[in-house]
Amino acid sequence: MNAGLILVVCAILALGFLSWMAWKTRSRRNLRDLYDIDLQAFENLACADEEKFLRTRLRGGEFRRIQRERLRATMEYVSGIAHNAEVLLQMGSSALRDSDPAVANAAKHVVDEASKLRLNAQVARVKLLTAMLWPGIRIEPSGVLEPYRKLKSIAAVLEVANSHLGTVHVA
Amino acid sequence: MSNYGFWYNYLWIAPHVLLAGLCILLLQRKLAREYPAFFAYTVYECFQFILGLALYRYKGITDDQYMEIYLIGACISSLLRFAIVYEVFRHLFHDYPVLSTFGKILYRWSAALLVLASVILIAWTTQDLQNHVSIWVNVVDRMVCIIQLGLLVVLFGASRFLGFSWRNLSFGIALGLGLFAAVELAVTAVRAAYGPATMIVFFNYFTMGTYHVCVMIWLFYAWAPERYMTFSPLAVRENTLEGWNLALKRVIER
Repeated sequence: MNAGLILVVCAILALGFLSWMAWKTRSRRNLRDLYDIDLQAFENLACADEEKFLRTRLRGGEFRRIQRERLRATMEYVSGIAHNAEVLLQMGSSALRDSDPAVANAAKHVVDEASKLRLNAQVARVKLLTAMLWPGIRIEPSGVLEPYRKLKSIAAVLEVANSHLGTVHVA
Repeated sequence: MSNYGFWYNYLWIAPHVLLAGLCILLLQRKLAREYPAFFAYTVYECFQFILGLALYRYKGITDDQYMEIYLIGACISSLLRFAIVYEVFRHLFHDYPVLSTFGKILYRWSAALLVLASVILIAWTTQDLQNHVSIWVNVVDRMVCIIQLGLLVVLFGASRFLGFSWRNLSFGIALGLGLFAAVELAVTAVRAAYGPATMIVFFNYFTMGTYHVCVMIWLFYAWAPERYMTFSPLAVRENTLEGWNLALKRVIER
């Protein structure tokens, strides 16, 4: 393949990616709905002891099948948290320059916590995806739970915001 | 100096007239202070255009001398575009202080990796290095395009990954610059592969037309008012926050 052609293809792909990203960025400007996260169920799914128990009780193939299902459900919760963080980031960023200092301060708090939450949720998604692809390998609790552990400071903001805005349940 | 038709002159002059309008708009809306590199770039492009026009009219200059001046101008323009990309990066992460260190690390590593990738790509694809014009077309221009485009791809990807919201002008600058860098990369790659004279008229029109579109994008986003979502501080109640945190901590640490 011609080397110049490779660069042309790279340029076209990059342009396509930028256009898609730009369109996605504009289209998510009006995000408002937060997902209602059932943290009790989420914690059960992410529980390391439960995974250990299943690993010892089930045969290899069966364990992998069930583990994949559990990870898929966990992924839905983490995706819901990532979405909520994004909504709060959009709201907070909009209000950072508000003329009312109380609103601006509250917005700063929300932006700080939501940005941490979003990053950790995305890292957790990557780790979960890896675990879904290789369900047989042992995932240390810190692998999935540690990022979640860091989410705790923002979880309350999400929970309270949930009570103030329209909610959508995670399936 | 050759004479060109109406559309060539239009595509040469119109974007710079719009850039002059953009300079005024940036000053009027006090955006020049917030985006100094972008403002410097628009002023510089206007200055370069006036200089180019004067030289074009001046009969005592040869094509080679004109090209030398053009290349120096293009070098400065490329450096300013790097400063703009950094400025957009800084602006995007400015509202998110928690992640500003992450943003700096991301920028540095991306830039370093892109420099490495562009050196490898260009060393692999370059055959003709006879004079400084071909060095510019084959090496510098393509390196600049690869690095700038790569940084913008990383920037858009990171903002999507982290769920950041863009301010109007930052978004417009990144979009316009990305479009221009992508087209410039494709054109320089074709020229480097098949010779600088390949479809010269078509590529000149194409590049100039793309730049015109970029300037219109910048102008639109500098002019468009910012849209804000409504936000209530009542949504954040400290006591609920603490209670919820404790409940969560108990469950996580059991």
